[in-house]
Amino acid sequence: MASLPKRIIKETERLVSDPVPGITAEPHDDNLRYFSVTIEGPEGSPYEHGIFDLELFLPDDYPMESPKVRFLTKIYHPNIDRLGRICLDVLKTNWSPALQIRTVLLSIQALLASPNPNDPLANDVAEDWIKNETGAIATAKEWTQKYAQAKE
Amino acid sequence: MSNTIHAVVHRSSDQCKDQLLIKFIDTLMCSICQDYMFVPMMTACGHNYCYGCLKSWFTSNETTELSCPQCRSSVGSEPNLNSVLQQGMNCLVEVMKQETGDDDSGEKDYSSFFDAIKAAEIEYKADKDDNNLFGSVFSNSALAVVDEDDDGIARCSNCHWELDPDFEEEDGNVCPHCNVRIRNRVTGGNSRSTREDGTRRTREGFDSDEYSDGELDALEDDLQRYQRDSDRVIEEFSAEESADNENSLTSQFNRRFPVPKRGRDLFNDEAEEASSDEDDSDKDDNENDEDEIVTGYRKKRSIHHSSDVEQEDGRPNKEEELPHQPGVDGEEEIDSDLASFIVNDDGEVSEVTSDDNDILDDFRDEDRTPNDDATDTSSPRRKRFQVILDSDDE
Ligand SMILES: [Zn+2]
Ligand SMILES: [Zn+2]
Ligand SMILES: [Zn+2]
Repeated sequence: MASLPKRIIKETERLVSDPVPGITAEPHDDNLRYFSVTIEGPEGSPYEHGIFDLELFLPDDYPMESPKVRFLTKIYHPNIDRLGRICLDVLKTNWSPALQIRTVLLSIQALLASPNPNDPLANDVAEDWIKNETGAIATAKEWTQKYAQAKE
Repeated sequence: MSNTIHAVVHRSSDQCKDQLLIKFIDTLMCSICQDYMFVPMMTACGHNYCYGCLKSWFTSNETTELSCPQCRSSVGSEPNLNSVLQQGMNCLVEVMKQETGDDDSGEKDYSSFFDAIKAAEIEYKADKDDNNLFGSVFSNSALAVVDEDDDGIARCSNCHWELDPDFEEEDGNVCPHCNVRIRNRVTGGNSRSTREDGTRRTREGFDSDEYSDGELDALEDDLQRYQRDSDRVIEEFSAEESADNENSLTSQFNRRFPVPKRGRDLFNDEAEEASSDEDDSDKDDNENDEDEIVTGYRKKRSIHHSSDVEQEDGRPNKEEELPHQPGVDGEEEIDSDLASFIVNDDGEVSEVTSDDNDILDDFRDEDRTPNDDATDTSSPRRKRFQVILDSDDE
């Protein structure tokens, strides 16, 4: 097993000692590159009061390559498809090795606060969002109620 | 001035001195590895990184331009050793060496730290002696340069070949003529300069992201010709069949000048649409799902174009007269990706297409298997999980 780069150790320590408000990220014991993540829906967004589970994986090339992140909780959002894949520039073309796990998770939280239906993730959620924003937001709230509640 | 600063620091409290010192030491941290920069290299934009980190970044993805991790500006010239930072680092190392020398218990063993410094310095020196700094990305690459006084077209600085603004996607950021990597993004030319928000301007309502200069010229010529022709045809028709009904005029007109299938202007139609068929939009899981989405996506593209045109140029949208050109507008490629984007009420993983499953399997393979990379040399090092299925990607 290749040793964990110092940067990953430092990032993990800081995520635990100085957590981002509304975000948790814990590495798995058997694979320190694999994290279980939760993100609270931002206040005032349709995802408010929801707690969303995500998985995050740091590839071998991290930080030269971006972390791989995916929603596990079903979410109605124009930039997240039904497999939980996220359309976010910093995860793809705008990745930079100066970014960190916490900055990526903050960006995802920000994406929940401001959905962008004009971003080219072609799904019918985006379509719905543009045609009928009120209805789409209602659906997003409904899904949050239905799928994103804290486990007892 | 320097005397003043010295005097102020000298007089200040121990706490203040400590804080100051920590801030200075922090300037020796590399934002890529979160460790000290033993061989600090400075980019033209003024940011510093370890030699090794910067080399890894520049050589990690050969299909993009060289950019600064902190500010993302293009790195056109080879970064230089920042000797000031290196001096600062050396001062700290001296202090540590002294402490090791004074220590008898062996508790203050910084040997792994010193080894790391030595390794970093050896790597840099070896690359430098071999004339191979940064994996030679700077000597084996070229810049896209634009002479605004001449034709305003971006050209490869190595061979002067004209660089299509789309070449990044099409040719993986490599000059199609001499095959060297292009270090910066193609910019320049009034019609297509990249704006601060990263999108590109449109020219005459066409998205210059999607067309080369030559294609744009041709499209604009076509457009003008079509407008002249259509004016003439309308005149002819109305003269000959002034009593004819709207339908036949339209259909004959369309047959003569095929227009790309175009959705409604959803921004303007919103009011009347909202009340009618929207209630069941996410329960719509009948077999026509895919078709629905395909047309839906075309509508979205249209919105994109028309809003671009209206907002950015203030010009009327002339796109409707554009003849349909299969393959040019990218609809075909995009359609094939749409199947994986269906979000319906029961969109569980079990419902996904085989493509989706492949991707998910990739993810799981990579994530969940215990880290035994050291023994498994067959696994491709750069195997990538596609988090975002982006239509631009293909
Ligand atoms: Zn570094
Ligand atoms: Zn910079
Ligand atoms: Zn060339």
